[in-house]
Amino acid sequence: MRFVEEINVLRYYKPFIEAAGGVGQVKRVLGWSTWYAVKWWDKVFSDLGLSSIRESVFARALYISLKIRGYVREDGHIKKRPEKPEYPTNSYAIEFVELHESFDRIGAVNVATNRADENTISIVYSTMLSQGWYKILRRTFLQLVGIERHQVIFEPIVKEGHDAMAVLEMHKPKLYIGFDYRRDNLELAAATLGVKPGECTKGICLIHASTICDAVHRIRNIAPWGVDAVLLLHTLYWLIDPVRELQCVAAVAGKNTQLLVGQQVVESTPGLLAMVVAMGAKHVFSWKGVENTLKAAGFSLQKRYLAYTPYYIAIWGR
Amino acid sequence: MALRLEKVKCPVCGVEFVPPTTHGEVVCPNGHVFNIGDVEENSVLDCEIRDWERFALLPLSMQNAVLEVIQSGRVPKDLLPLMRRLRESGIVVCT
Repeated sequence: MRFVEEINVLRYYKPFIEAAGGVGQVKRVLGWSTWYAVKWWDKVFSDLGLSSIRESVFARALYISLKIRGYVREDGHIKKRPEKPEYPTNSYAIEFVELHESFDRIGAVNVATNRADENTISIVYSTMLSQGWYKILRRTFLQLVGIERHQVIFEPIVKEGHDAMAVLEMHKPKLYIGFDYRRDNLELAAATLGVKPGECTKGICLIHASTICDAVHRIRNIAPWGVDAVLLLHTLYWLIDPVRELQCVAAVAGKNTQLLVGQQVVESTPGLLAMVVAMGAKHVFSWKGVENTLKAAGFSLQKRYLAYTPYYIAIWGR
Repeated sequence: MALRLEKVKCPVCGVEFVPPTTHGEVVCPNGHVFNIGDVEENSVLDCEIRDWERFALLPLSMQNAVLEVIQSGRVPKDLLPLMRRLRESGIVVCT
C-alpha cells in the first residue's frame, strides 16, 4: 500500500477500518483475497489451461486481475505466489475471509466449468450483501460521499435493495429510483423495501428495464428536473456496456448531479472480484480503468478519496 | 412474496392462528392484541434446514444468523433476500 493511500484510508475510511480491527487487519484480509485468487487460478489453469479464459468469465477475471497485479505471466503460469496470510482476529475481518472460504468450497474448477449450482452461487452473493463487514463498508461509503445532501437519488442496478435500505435508514430523500435488469433482484429489493416492483410507492420507484438507456424515459417522467445523485456502489461491473450506459445516466442527470462511485478493483481484492463475476458481474476493473470508463462517458472527476484500498471511492460530475 | 404467510404468531404468547385480516389490529385466541402488519411482513414459521450439506457452504457467522432467524421466527429486513433465496433453493423449508 502506498503511503499516501494509507494516510487517505485513515482519513476518509476510519469507521470501516476501526470496525475491521485497524489497518493491519484490513491488509491481512486483502492479502487473503489475493491468496485465494492465486489458489483458484492455479487450479483452473492446471485443470483447464489458458483457454479457460475464453470459456469462463470467472477464469478470465482471475487471469486479468492476477496478470495486472504481476502474479501471473502472459502464458498463464504463476509468476509469484503470495505467502498465506495470518488468519485475522477481528470478527468482521474473519467474515470477509469466511466468504472466500465458502466460495472455495464450491470449487474454482466447478465454477469455471459451469458445474456449480447457480442457486448456491446466488446464496453466497446474498450472504456477502448481508454480512456485517459489507454493511459497515456500505454505511461508511454513504457517509463519506454525503448521501444525506441528496434528495433525488438514482441507483442503477439496485441489486437486492440493501444499499437503498441503508440510504433510507440514514435519511429520507424525496425520491429514490432504483433500476435493475434482473427481475429476481428487483423482486428481492421490493420485498426488502416493502414496495412493489415497477411502481412508485412511498417515494421509492423500482424500474425493470434491460439497460439504463431503456429506463431513461421512465426516469425522466418520474424526475423531470433530473436526479441529484447517482449511486454507483459496486455497480459499474454489473453494467453490460458501462460507457454506453453511463452516457444514458447523463441523460437523466441535472447540471449539478454527482456520481457517487465506489468500486472493487483488481489492486485490492482480486478474489472478491472474481467471486462477484462468478455471481454474474460482467467486468473487472483496475482503478484507472474505472476512471477511464467514467471519462469516456463524459464525466469529470470532482474528488477522489481512495484509489484502491480497500476499494476505489470518488465523486464525479458532468 | 414468499415469506408472507397465512398463519401468524402472537408475539406475546406464541400461539399460531389464521387472522381474519392481513393488516391492522388483531386479537389472538388468548386475548392478546397486536398489530398484524408489524409481525406478518418479516415472520417465518416452522422453518427447518432441509439441506445441511449446502447450508454448510455458508460462512459460519451467516449460518448462525440464519439459525437465529429460524429460532426466533423473525427475519431482519437485511436478511430477507437471503432467507428467500435459501427457501427457493430448498435449503430451508418453512411450512
